[in-house]
Amino acid sequence: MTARHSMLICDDEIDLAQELGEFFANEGWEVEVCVSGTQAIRLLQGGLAPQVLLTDLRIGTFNGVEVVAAARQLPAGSRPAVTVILTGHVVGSAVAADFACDLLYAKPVDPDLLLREVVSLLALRKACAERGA
Amino acid sequence: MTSSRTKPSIGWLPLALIAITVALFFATGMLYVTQTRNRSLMTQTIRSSGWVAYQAELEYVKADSALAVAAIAPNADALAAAELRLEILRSRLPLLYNSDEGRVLRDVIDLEKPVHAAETLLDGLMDRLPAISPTDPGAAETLLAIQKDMAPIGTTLKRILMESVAYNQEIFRRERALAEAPGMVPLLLLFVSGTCLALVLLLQSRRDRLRLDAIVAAQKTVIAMEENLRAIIEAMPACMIVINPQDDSVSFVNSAASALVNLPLDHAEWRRLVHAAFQAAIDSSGDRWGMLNMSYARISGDITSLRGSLCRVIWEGRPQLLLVMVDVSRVRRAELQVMQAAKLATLGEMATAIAHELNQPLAVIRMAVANANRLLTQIEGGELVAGKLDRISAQVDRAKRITDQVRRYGRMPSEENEPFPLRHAVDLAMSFVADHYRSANIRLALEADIAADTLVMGEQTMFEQVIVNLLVNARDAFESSGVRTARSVVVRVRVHEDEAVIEVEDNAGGIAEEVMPRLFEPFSTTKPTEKGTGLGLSIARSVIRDMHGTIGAENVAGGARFVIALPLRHAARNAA
Amino acid sequence: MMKLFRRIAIVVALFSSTLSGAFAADLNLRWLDAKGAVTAERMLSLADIDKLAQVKIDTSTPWTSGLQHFRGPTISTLAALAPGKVASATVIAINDYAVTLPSAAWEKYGPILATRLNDQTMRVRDKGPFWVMFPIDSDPELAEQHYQSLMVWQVKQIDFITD
Repeated sequence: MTARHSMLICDDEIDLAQELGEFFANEGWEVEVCVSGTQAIRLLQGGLAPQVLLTDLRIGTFNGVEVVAAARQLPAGSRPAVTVILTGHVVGSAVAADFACDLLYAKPVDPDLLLREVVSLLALRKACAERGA
Repeated sequence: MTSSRTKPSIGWLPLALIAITVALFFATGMLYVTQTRNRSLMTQTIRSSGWVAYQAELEYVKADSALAVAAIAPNADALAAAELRLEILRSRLPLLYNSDEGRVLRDVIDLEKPVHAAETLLDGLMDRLPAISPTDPGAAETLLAIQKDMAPIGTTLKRILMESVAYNQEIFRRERALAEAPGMVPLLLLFVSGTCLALVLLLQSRRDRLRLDAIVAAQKTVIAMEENLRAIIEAMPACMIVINPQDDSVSFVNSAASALVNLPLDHAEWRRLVHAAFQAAIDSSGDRWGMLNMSYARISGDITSLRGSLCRVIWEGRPQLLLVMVDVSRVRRAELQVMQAAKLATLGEMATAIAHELNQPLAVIRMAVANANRLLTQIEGGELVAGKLDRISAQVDRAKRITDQVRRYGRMPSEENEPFPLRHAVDLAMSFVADHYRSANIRLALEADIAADTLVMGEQTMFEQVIVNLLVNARDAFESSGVRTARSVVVRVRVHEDEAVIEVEDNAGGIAEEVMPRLFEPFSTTKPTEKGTGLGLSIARSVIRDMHGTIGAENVAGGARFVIALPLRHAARNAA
Repeated sequence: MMKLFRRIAIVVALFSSTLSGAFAADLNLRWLDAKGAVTAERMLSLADIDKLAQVKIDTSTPWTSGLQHFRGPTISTLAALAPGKVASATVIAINDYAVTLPSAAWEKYGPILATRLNDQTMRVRDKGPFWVMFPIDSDPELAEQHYQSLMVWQVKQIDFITD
């Protein structure tokens, strides 16, 4: 129930991570940026508890799916409500469910679209959580 | 080995047999001659031996009778006659043992002692005779007495005679028995050796005939093999040219070579080819052997690439050069095509990789542009820059579209051709564009005369992409043509014989004639850059080809019609 | 006178030979022409024969043992006692055994009518008085039956057949 949305952005390409961070910061979000999966997991486990987790997939050096999985394993309070995977390598016609995340986008993503869908899904989740609670 | 003369190989066995036969022949002859002579001699002697005994006996009888006559009328003549007879008899007795015949007789009959006794007796008697006077009254008695005393001689002689006769008969009998035998043995041997010789010669001739047959068969095999080799040489796709090293003229060419240079062997063109080959065959150390690569300009003007080798060969007993060359022009072209395909494949892969990689900077550009736009609102005079940023943004979109299509274009041939329900795929594709069509005021209709479970083989998503692409193209065509009224696009799906036919027909004005031939080529688009990448239809064609179908376009009244034909999947109808 | 004396001598010899048992050593020679007519005839005594040219043959014979010495005139000598070319000679023995010698035989081998065997006359029992003898040892052919039959002993008469 925080006023500001929070997001953890994780992408090993520092330029993109920074731009993404700037974009969401301009929209009034609280943004944390990191460039490695291990760093992201550490932050999450360290109690960062962002509302949204946005990570690259980049299979190879670091796996976004691990970050997503780590996020899932967090206690309910610190678990992000929405996980988003952003990837440059879409294998075939994959869908979000394939990666156990909520939203899946192929790079380059339309920033407005991204913002819109994340916000609406977050609202939805919030509403569900409130209703459930 | 191919000679059929067998004389030098005559074995020692027949020669030996011939020698034996000839020797036996002569031996038989000689034996026969000697035997005959000996036999005749022996016969004579044997006969004479009996004769001697007979003659002695005869003389005895004569002497005996002379004595008897003298006893009857003892006168001087009678006495003289009797004395003469006794003398003659006496002369006969030694012959029984002291003559050729007597020697034979002596060996057979025990006569020496009795004859000697007879001689002694006779000598005594003969001594008494001269004492008798014819006028002597007792003369007759004396004579008779002498005659009587002579009797044992007669007995002896008779016995000897009988024995000799018996012996003669025995001899004759044995001789007759032997007559055939001695002659038989060598004759038999001759016969046997002759038969053996005949047999050996027969065997030899049979063996020679077999050998001859074998040789003939071997020759036939050789000829057959030569035929095969000749057939192979003629059938070989490589050119074979046999060159006489002395004057570089051509001794033999196979059919492939005469196809290359279609001229008589004494034409100068051959020499030109040969010299060119010689040149090409000079290796690094300057020797004129080994592999060669050359281009040969045929008389017709074509240039063929030839690859081959030059080596020594014994052809028809003489040392010649053998030039074997293969026309590699086609091979080379095929190689180039393969390289091209590989390059394309690599390009495809590269394209995919590039596309993937491009997405990264594109993502950054996009975000940066969005952020820049945000920053600009706080700066004065930022509208122009904002316009440029918008342009950048649009180009990023375009780049993304290109990378998307490139990715799809460059993908590997599908390994996942699965059967999918055609109608469902078409429905899906149409639903993708339904909203856009609504907002563009285009009526989209589906005429599907096909069962829901009719299957085709392919990648469903790719096929959907194709239909989407066609529908998007139709929509874009409407926009650019400006036709506003009664826009409609009809999608028809039906089964025709063994195929499924899908038609996408619009009334957007048709396709320009000059564009038609290159409609499905990559990067040939009529759309403005914001809309078209130029890859859509070529990708569509590629996809449809992978599905073993065909795609075509034609202008119909007021619009264009794209027709896709796909082979039906005739298998399990219960596939979902 | 001599003729008479000779005749008496012959008679006496005959007589004495008859008496002594040494038979008349007389050789009867006849010459016949081709038709068989007698063209000449001679009776020779031993003394007459001795007067002719003598030839010696030293040889062994099938009927004797050891080397024997024969002496007498050759058949051709006897044949030449009368004119005419003699083609063959028929030799007749005391027992009437007869055999024909072709002239070729005595021309080739020179047989004799032996009167002496080892310098002694031959009694009838010794195959005398006259024995046709060939030089047997000089030619192996003479040892054969054929020639043996020509070596007639106890010869009493020879008929020469002229051409």
